[in-house]
Amino acid sequence: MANPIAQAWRKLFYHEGNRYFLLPPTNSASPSPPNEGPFGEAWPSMMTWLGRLTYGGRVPTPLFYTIIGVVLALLTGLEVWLFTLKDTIGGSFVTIMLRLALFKFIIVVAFFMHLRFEKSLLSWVFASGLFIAVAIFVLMLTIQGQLIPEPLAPS
Amino acid sequence: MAQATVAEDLHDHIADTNTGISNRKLLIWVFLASDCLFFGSFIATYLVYRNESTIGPYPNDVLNIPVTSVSTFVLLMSSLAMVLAVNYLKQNRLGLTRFWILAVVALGTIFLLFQVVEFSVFVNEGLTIRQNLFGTTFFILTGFHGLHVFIGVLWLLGMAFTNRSLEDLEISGLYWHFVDIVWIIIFTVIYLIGFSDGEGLSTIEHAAAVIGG
Repeated sequence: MANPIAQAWRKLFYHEGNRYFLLPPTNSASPSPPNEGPFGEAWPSMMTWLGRLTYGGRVPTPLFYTIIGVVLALLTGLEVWLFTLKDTIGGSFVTIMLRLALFKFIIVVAFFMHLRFEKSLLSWVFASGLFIAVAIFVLMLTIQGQLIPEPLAPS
Repeated sequence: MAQATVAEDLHDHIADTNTGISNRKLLIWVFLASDCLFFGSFIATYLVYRNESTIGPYPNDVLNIPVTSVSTFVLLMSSLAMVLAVNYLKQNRLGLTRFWILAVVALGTIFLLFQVVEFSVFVNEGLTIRQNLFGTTFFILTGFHGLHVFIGVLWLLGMAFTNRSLEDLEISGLYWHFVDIVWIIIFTVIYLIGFSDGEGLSTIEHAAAVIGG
């Protein structure tokens, strides 16, 4: 069996024996070969794998939900740990915290609330409410001048 | 929980409606979307008045991150228990379903106790809903969240001891998970990010900073 790292490397950077950045010999014959792109087949393969892992037509098991729960707990622990390093992290602390919170939010909505497995209409219904909420949120902060930095006073 | 009802639900996954989604499930999602506006407005109000209190106590004086981290963990685990309850009802394992629903009720009650203790400590330290803008916005936001948790606990307590269909449990579960995701945002925005508001300032210095701009 070939080395999986070498296989991944070939998938990422090689195209039918030529390096990706060299024009493949088949390109003129096939103007849009399947999975053409900077990551070759790796990206669609990964998405298929992710899709199969999270759903794949099967009913999620208690083990799957437990793994999600552990991930959520670890992310919360990570947040609290980063909080203790707040002074070291500096200005990007808020951005990191908001991204972690958003990630946890998406995990709960997608897997615990089953939006990943439901009809897309429900996702649109929830997303529309969320969109309006965020719009109100941004509008209020903008009106109150929280999102627009005050101009520097002339020296 | 009636076994016949569960079996019926399992075989009737695609509802006989225009959308293929049961009207009740659609309704709960519309409600949750509207609840996003409710909490979004309160969180925005909190941020608008952030650092605008002219007198203490400030977040830095009263918030206790280790304790709140534990209560956050408890609420996250209650969400896990909820999804397991729904999962076991799908498998028609009614004993396990009831066990996990009661686990959710217990964890939700623990979270509420944490909140009651937190509120009473804050009041003892001088932070009331009328003390300053931080107190007003904080108590309204977290108080309404606590009210949602309380309603959820009562709802699930009713679910544990009555015969309900899978869809009933799914709907109450969606409500419970929503309460959880709201807390995820509150914990990050108010406790972790907003903790240092007013840090290192005396009341007079802070008032001067707010008034002086």
